[in-house]
Amino acid sequence: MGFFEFRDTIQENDTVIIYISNDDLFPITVKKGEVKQTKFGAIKHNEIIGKKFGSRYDCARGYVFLLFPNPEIWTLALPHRTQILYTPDISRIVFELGLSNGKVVCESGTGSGSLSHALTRGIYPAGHLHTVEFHEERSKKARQEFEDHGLSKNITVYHRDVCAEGWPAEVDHKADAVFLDIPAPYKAIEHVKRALKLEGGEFCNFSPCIEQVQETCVKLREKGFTNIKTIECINSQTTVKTSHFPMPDFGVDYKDLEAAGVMPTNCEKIGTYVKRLEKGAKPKTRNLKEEDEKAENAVEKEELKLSECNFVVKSALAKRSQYGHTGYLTFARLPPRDESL
Amino acid sequence: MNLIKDGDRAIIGHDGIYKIMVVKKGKHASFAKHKFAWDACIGRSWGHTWQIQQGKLEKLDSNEACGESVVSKVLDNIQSGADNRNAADLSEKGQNLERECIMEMREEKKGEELIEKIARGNADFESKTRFTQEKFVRHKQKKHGGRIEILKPSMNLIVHQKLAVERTKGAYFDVHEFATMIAMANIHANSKVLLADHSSCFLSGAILSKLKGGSGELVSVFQGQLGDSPPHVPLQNYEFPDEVWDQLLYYPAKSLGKATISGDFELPELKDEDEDLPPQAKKQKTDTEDNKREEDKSRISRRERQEKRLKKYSRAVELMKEKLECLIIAPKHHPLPWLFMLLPFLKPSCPFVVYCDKKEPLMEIFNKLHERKSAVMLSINSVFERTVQVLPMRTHPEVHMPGNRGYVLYGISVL
Ligand SMILES: C[S@@+](CC[C@H](N)C(=O)[O-])C[C@H]1O[C@@H](n2cnc3c(N)ncnc32)[C@H](O)[C@@H]1O
Repeated sequence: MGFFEFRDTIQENDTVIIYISNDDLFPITVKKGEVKQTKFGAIKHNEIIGKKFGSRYDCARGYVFLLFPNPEIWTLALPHRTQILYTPDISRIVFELGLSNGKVVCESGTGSGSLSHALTRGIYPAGHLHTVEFHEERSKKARQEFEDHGLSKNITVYHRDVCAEGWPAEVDHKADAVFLDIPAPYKAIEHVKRALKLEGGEFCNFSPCIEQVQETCVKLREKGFTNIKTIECINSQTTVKTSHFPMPDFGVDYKDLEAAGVMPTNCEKIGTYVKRLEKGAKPKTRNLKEEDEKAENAVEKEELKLSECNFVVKSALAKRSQYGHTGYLTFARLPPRDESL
Repeated sequence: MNLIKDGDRAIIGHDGIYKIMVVKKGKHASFAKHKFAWDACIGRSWGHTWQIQQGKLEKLDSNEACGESVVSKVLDNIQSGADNRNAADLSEKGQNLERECIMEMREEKKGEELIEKIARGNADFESKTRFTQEKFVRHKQKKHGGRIEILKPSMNLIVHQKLAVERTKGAYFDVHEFATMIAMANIHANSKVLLADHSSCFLSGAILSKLKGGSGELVSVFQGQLGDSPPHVPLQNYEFPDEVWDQLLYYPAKSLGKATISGDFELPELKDEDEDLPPQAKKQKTDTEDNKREEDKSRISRRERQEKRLKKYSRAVELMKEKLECLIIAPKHHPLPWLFMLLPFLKPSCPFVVYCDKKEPLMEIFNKLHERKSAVMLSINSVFERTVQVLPMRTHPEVHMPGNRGYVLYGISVL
């Protein structure tokens, strides 16, 4: 399949992303006769061939969606072989490296290929990504994945040590941009410089620890890079949830409290209420929405007392614990090397 | 090799402060009140750092180009104290040199000499610690150093420069939000993109530069009626070749309502002459993008212009009927009506992003999409970003960081 050639219908050998929830999605490669077990029950590959991407598939105990992959979804669904980069950092890296169709970009280490897909999108279809990984097994798996995604013509994976050898000699002075995500980036700056075009180019480094950043910046200055800038991005991702606040019961009607000037506003007007469920009534389910609506109507019709109600609030909630610090991004520019021009 | 030519557009400046200018042989320009003649840089490579010296540009060697080289040069023969116990307070009897005097010295002194003079003019400079001195020199170098880089405009540089200017004028997206939108929308050179952008066309420029050289097409739905073109867009900085302009298509919002209800997309009729238009309408029309461009390019007849516009409209309609592969919305209006108007033109399993500088309208959209079950992967994203000063023994996050941030809603359409 072509990762960047969108197609409507699922075919054999396609990589399809099975979506259960924002935190639960995984890829499958469609093969006739195969079956994938999920927590909702089996997915029969035969049944999804010919279906449209984006359609719903009903399992025995719930449903999933069948999605066409893209780099952002892939980042969330991919099999982790290493720590990976996530979309907030990735989108900034790709932007600052100034990638566009036809450019040449170098990367190390390949890791799980999370960033590689976004870098490739940046230079697709005429450009090339040269990515170096010194862990043999990982380099093989990455190569296989890129092939399965129809990206072999745009990505070459090399199995070598980037600190010792850099990128292969054929790449010398070919790169428009270079990116590093390895434990000792400061040991590879000389090779970065060798890979970058003689007319100059962009560099970006990702490091979780400030000590690595410190040493890398020293090296970059020493090697003549300019515009060295380090930033840290912390993403806050929220989803919208409905919360219920029970209204306190003071033994008299709220209308009377308003009339007496105790309550400052017309409480009924300040929002939406639903009737509080009696003890032992069916607990709230995930599919609260429709019940909410019914209950809301009920409030209007029956003139329920507010003290028997819950005040309904829609609020944007982050996860209790989410990615905070991932790493520092250091950007730098290499000026042209020919001083006479 | 790519060299600077007379008439090229260039991004000039330093340390994140840039301007876009046109290189003109025999002409002067100025940056941060430093006046200079362009001539010295014509025929040289892009990307060098230059020192403005008595109105001329002098190229700096790469080992001098780094700002830190000034720091060490200036402080080379200046003493420093062990600590700041005897140093004057920041605001007290600081600078002995008058401002006018500094401005005069800028005319004649070379960068480092000037900075050294300013440093020495500072009361008991030599009793301050090295770190305090370095900080001072860095600051003065930025202000008076008279250095500029001359860079070839690229999408990321243009966006950085433009957003820095726009953000000083008020609420606007910043670089990170911009980068997030472009990435999450999954745009590459072959993408079919649907866009509603009222951000002085920042997005159209960036998207077109992504589509360059590919088979991608951009359908821009603009606030206007049948026969209009989108407002004139400041895209000349990109210097797109003609093929890229052909990738830009558009359709007016005012014809979209009827089209979505009836399935019939209106197209403008070809008229022989525009003469029957009221003068006011004519005036408005001269402000539009394709008119302006084409008028200064050559004398294409009205008829041809109309035909060209009709072609853009028809192709846009074709693509909307086939449906597109990504949707980006960054309107001045409430984003909810825009999203629900345009979502039917997005293929299933394709991404959409909606920008808003307030969170609440996006929460509204989130709820409605959730209720209709028309999208998955829904999230509202914002980012907390800060710059870190990285120097030996002096690494810390910078004091200033962007305050109010905008939000990007993301989702994938489903059947
Ligand atoms: C954190 S992972 C990179 C993750 C990747 N950026 C992603 O998003 O999936 C770092 C990778 O660099 C590789 N690596 C570390 N040092 C290396 C070196 N000197 N040469 C080549 N690869 C190296 C490791 O094997 C590991 O796979």
